[in-house]
Amino acid sequence: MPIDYLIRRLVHLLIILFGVSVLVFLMLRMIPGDPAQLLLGEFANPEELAGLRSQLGLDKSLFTQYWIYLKNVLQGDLGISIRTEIPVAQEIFVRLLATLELSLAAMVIATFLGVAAGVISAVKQYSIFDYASMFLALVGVSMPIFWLGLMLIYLFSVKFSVLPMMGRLSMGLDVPSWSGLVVVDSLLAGNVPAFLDSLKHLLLPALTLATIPTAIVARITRSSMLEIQNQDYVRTARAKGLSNLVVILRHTLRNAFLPVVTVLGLNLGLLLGGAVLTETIFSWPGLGRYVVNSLMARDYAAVQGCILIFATLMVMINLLVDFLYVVLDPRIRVHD
Amino acid sequence: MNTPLLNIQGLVTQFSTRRGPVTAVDGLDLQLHSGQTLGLVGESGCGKSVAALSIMRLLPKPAGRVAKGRILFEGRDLLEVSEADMRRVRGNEISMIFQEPMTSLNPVYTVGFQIYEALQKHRKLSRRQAGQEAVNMLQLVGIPEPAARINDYPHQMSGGMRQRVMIAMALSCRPKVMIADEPTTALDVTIQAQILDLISRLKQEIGMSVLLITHDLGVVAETCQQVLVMYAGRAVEKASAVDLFEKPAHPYTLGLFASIPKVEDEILHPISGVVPSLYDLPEGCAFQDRCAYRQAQCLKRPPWIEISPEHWVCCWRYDTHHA
Amino acid sequence: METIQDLFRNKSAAFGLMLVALIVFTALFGPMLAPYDPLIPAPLDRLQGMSRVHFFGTDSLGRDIFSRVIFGSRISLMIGGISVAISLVPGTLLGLTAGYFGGWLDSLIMRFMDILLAFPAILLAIFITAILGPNLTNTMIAVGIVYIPHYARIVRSSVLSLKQQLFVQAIGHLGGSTFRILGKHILPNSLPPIIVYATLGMGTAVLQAAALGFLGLGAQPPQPEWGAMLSEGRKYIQLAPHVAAFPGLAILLLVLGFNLFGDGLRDTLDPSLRSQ
Repeated sequence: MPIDYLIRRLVHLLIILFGVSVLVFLMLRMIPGDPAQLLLGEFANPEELAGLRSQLGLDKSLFTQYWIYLKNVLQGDLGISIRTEIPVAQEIFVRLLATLELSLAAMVIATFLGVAAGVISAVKQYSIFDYASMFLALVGVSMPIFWLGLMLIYLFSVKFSVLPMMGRLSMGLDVPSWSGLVVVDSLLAGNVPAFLDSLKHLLLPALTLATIPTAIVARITRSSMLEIQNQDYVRTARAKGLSNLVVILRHTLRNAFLPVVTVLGLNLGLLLGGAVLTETIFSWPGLGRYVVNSLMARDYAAVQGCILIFATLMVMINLLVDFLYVVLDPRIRVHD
Repeated sequence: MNTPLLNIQGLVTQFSTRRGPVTAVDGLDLQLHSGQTLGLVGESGCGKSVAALSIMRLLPKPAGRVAKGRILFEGRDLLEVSEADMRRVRGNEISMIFQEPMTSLNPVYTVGFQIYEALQKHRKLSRRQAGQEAVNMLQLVGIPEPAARINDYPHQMSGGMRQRVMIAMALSCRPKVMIADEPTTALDVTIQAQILDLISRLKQEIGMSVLLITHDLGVVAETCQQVLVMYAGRAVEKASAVDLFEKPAHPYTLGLFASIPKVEDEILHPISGVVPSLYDLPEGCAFQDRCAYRQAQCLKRPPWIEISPEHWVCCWRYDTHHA
Repeated sequence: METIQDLFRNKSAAFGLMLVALIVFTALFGPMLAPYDPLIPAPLDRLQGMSRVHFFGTDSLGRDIFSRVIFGSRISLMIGGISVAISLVPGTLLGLTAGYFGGWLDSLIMRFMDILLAFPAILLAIFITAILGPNLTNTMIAVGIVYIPHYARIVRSSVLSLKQQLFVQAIGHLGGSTFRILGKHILPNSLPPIIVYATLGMGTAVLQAAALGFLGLGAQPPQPEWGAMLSEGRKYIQLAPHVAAFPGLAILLLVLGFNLFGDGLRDTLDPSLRSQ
């Protein structure tokens, strides 16, 4: 069954990605204005415009245009950025790693903080901790994170000036780029000052980005734990004389984790969306900020590339979550 | 007889509910002697499972609590010992199996691990020894190819097999008492007999006592030496199995016997009326509203009356002083 | 009736409703409540802190932030209502169609919904706004489109479970017309989850629209839209944090209100949705 399942999921993934590429292609064609005109400016003469149009393939049928575009994309060619004249794929790759660093950090915070709060709330149901953390979680899911980011900046960077306002690393510090994750690279290079500095830079944006996922994870963990706590097998575990901690972690949380994983997966999408806002606020040189800036500059090749990458990431993450589910739940994994 | 292994005195267990507190077990006395099987009989909701969970101190928290009474196990009051000491008792000296084998095993761990866990906790065995012992236990409860089945997940086994696993788990540390809460109710009839045989056989082998909770007098006949009948949270009759089957005394016990389907009799005789709600039990005897022998005195709580040696009943009908 | 009583007994739902009601009240009586005009600049009073004259201080053009926040409530409530309507109507129709007719129509619709769901919501909204042009109307359209698939999915699954139920099958056998069955029997019975989701969706829509405003893709100056006000406040975060603080707080309270109320609705209307 898992092999069947895997193949079915992959086919579904390909269909979705194909649909995404068609949709993005068509939507970009719907943007008012002539791309050639946009590239050459208002005062270009007609011959130049016609030349560029045929160079860009704009004189061909929509279908042919899509076909050329699809072929290019499949070969990793996402076009050239009109702002920097660097291939978009290259621009995206560097920024993707910055986004990855931020998202991973936020994910780690959300998982640990959210699961811990959810577990304690469930175990101590109706306690003050439970009420407080669930109220905070509700505030968390209602949070305009761009506002939270600004307030954190004001508090920690302006008022108390303990944390940097923007960027990934202070001026004057430099680490070789191996993984593209500055925190990891500085650690690999054994550069302790740079490592601490990069962590300081990471803290506020990661906290901002983690707010909503932490809140969601805490809520779902709590409700899932409460449900599992009443299962017969938890009582069996207690009847064996296992300690409270073992019963909670091994026999309750492990089972309660299944819905949490689903939510974590769904949240990765939310995280990617949140990255757009967080990166803008903290001038984090990632993909989210890049896509917004490209839109402002009407750099459509870049926009198109970014959106394709974001959608691909989302679809792949969902696939990953499905697999994780299979790993976690033997009822799906093992077949008779 | 010598001192009982498990001696419950005046147990009162209450639940707080939205509609106020409810007394699920009301003044239960119960003695389980070493090597004995005692049947705790009654309809569902009569408090027999709650009594068992009270012994294990596994009442659902925070709703349930023991309000009064003593649970003496080898002279120690289990209601007084620390939680840590209680954990050393659970699964080690007193273990328990439950009604629903389908849901009583954790679906994400192999059956082997779930047996191993108890062994490692109580017997301090090495990984290897505990693993080997888990295989032995599966063998003991009659699971074919135990070395292979040890790596199965619960969902790969039938209900009967899972109940065998539960028994293996419960017996892995050679407890002195096993509490079996309706161990066969959820199983097919043929499997029921197998599981009951298994429990009786292992009881001899390990030399433990069994507290068997059931609503089924047929099960009692097959396995128990002593019987205690409960109704609406109170014990109403206790006797040896032989005495109870020959001369049932309490009107409720009589009703239970009458409601057993018999081969020669095609009509069922259920006890008329309904079990009273624990929220508003009548004054005096709880069974009075359904009782064919009701008399004026039933409005007062009936006393325990010994109608023959070691056969006690809680009913005014047998009160010779007043009659 | 019992449902409504339950709802008021649920303290957090009642609190949520109170927050929303407070903001609706503010929006309705804005002109009477606001001490200043929200649009007219007063260059001499720029970037003043909180005081008895200007409760929330003034912005970079000297406008009273308190008054702007009050007028902003109208915009945000309008965004919430209209965006949700834009997702709700097509989403419900698509979900009804997919769920009731099934087959290839179902596959086609739901695959298309999957494709829309493959984009992070805010990104798709940004993209749509960029194509349509940055203004308030297009923000509402964009946020509306982004959440169509959510409603389609919810309605579809509720239609599927209703279709299994006897009474709908019975009506089908009695020869009820498709539209009659859909409109008279299926739609009313799938309303509870739609209502719950729409309430929670108001909060989400307000949040997303404010994000677009913050990125400069939504309402344009001088409109007192909370997101756009925050965007402006960002420039003065070091000098005058209050410019950003109050519009953000307003967003938080409104969204919190919708979420609290929506959670309460879910618990009373449709307990089966509770774990989602």
